[in-house]
Amino acid sequence: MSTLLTAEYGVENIVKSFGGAKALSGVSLSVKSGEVHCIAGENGSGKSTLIKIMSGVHAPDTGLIRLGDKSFTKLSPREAVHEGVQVIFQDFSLLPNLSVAENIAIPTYISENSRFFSKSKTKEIAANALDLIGVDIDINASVTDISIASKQLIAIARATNQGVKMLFMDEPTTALTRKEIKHLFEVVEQLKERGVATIFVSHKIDEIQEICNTITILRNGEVVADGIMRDFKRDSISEAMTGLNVSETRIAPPLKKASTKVIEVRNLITKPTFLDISFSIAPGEILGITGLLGSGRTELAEAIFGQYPIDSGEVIVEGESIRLNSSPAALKAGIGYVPPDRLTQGLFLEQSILRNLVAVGVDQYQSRGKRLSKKRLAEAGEKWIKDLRIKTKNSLNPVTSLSGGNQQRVVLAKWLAMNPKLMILNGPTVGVDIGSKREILEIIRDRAQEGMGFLVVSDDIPELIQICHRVLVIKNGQISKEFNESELDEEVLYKELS
Amino acid sequence: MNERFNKINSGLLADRKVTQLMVITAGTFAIFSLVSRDIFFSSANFTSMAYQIPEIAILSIAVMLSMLTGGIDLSIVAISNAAALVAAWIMTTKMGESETLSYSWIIIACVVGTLVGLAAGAVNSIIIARLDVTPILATLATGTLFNGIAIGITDGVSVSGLPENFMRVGNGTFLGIPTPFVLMVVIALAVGYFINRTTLGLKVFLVGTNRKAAQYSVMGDRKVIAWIYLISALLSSLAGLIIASRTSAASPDFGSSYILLAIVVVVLGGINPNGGFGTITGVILATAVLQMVSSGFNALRFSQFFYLAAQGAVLVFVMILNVVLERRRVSRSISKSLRS
Ligand SMILES: Nc1ncnc2c1ncn2[C@@H]1O[C@H](COP(=O)(O)OP(=O)(O)OP(=O)(O)O)[C@@H](O)[C@H]1O
Ligand SMILES: [Mg+2]
Repeated sequence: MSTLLTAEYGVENIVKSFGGAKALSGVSLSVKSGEVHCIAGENGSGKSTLIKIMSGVHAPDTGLIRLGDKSFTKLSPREAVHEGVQVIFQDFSLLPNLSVAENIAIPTYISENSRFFSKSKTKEIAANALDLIGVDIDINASVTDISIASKQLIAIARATNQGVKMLFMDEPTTALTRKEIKHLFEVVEQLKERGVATIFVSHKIDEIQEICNTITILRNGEVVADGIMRDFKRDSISEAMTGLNVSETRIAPPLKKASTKVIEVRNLITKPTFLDISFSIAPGEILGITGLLGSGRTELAEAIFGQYPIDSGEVIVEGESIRLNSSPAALKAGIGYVPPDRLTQGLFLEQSILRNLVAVGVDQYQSRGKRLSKKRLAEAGEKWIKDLRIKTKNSLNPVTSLSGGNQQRVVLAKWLAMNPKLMILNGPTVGVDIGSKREILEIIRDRAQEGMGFLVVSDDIPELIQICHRVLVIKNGQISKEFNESELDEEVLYKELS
Repeated sequence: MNERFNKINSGLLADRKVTQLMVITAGTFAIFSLVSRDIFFSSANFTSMAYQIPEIAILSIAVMLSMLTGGIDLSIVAISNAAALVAAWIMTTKMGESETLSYSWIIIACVVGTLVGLAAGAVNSIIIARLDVTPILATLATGTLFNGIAIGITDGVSVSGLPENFMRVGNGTFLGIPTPFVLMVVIALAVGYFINRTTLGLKVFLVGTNRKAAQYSVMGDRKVIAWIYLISALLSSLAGLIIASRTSAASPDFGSSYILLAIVVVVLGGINPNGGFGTITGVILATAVLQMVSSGFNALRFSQFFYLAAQGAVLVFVMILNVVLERRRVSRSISKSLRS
């Protein structure tokens, strides 16, 4: 039932540098219609850059772009759209002041060259698109007010519209749980049937093994391996990416017996989001929390940090009850929080890496008379760039110049610098490559060994199993089950979730 | 500190804008000096510019601060007039028939005037930082309110005939340099120190770049914004006192065109209207450029309407220049939204 003739999309010998630094050095690849092709590689290996070149966002220094039977040395975004290219960008790039419906419908209007917007038509397009990927989001809401997972779903709905022939998905699943991902894969299968060529980028290897037919692996802007997906094993992919053998075994440190608690949460209630939640974390303990979208896990994390209202309950840090609904009180008590959406909640995007690194504890860097000590500021910047191995040449570059994984390290560093007693991490390795992920988990482990307590909110079950001492599953705002160290098992957890 | 540290605060982008502006300033100066060698390029003209630049520069610095946080303060002129009126009223009441007034009373008058200005600023702070009203609407409203109160109390009549020794500040010199100019330099240095060398200053840039991330970083974003509107009011009050001292009068409807001019200056000075980026050097240079254009046109006997149009033209030119220079950055996001 192929509706498109077999076409080929690809690039030949693409070279691209950013101010002297080479992001891509002679990359070639090709995808046929009806094929799902994976681009894998570490953070900063050039995946997004390649996608931006193929969709006309960046111009290559040299090289050729082929879209069907047309070749381009220079491609504009408009031409790309005209050739049927659609992109789900890593940062979604939604239009912030418009509604969900408008965001979804605009590409349809553009592709129809229509100048008239009708409210009812907009809503119809949006409702259909969301229906296609099987999700339920209020289409009248403004995209500024919705969760990161919803933003990602909207970006997907927008790109998988009628006219698409070549679809780029740059880490489309980072904020989604297994349920939405399953739906997404069904949609990808449908598009495949229709003859759409798809390029799929993800750091989750089981995802790419499940959905992709072919693969290209990049390292430092060069192709180090490519071929048919079946010929690659999990280990060979991660080894080609990193040049190392990345272990994914459990690394949670042995938990020392402690009579004290870092935090005790008692009978936390905010109707209808969560109902009567209680748990505690011992020094050095890493507690995982997981649940489906809308289960209340993110709200719970934010509530403890004073960013989501609490109706009643008690939060006790090291024996002292803290004032609720106040982030300053939480910070003062020693609670740190890494939010899930680094682009809008975690980072000051256009500001320098250095300023981002010191954003939480700015006041620590003042000497007498509120004077900012630039020396200490620069020293702190250097320390964190070194400690967390943030890949940059200059800490004064804007944080946007970093790859996704390195941006995530900046947010993490900003909070580690405060040395909190309890660190709440909401999606700590979202969009982080397999090697870096291991390194971030190791950072968590080391800090836990020093006595820092962790609350890790994540959809990534293997990750939770690698690092946590205990995992709570949240369902409809309640703890539905608790898994102890000995009970942690992927299959069992997935089952509890579905 | 070495250059690298300086860049930490100004930001690379802002640095480029300052260089741009220096070229524009030098160019404007050169052109008018060549075209009007005897009138523009004369010490009399330079002196007169040195007396006129400070008021608008200080008001522009006030606007710059609010703009750095992503807001704007439209009540600067109303506050400036209010402070001047209160000070002028105290002075004229106290001096009676004489021509001068004791320095202690002059100082008291200025302090009280400034306090009234600060009180007005506190109203802005509360409405904007506490009640989350959009700055442009909040200050438009409070500006109108302060102005209305001033007109109501004074019946719209200006208070003139200020003490002679007070006028010496606005018309005299300090070490051979016009005193208002010296005051402007001191204020610019102080504000420069504040935004570049204090933690509160760094927070101003961060809050202006991303308010939500500032909330998640628990840096007291409301406090930062509240401070900014207070400081803006303080600067406006000082500008009002300088104006009163130079003109020997205070009136509720003085300088309403200054609001627009200050915004032109600030945008020309490279302050990002969305917040987060800008330098004080940019603002000072931009004030100088506009003053030169104004004086230059005067020297060439062009009409004042022509000057207004030129102001607009400068603004449009700078905006286009900015867009062209930042095309890469901008085109990236535009092309994204195009496809989206
Ligand atoms: N606009 C830019 N300016 C300067 N350097 C850039 C820019 N965009 C990307 N780079 C650099 O190019 C390299 C490749 O980045 P790219 O975003 O393509 O990586 P990626 O493979 O998508 O990584 P991730 O998995 O973290 O998303 C990185 O070193 C990055 O720092
Ligand atoms: Mg990327």
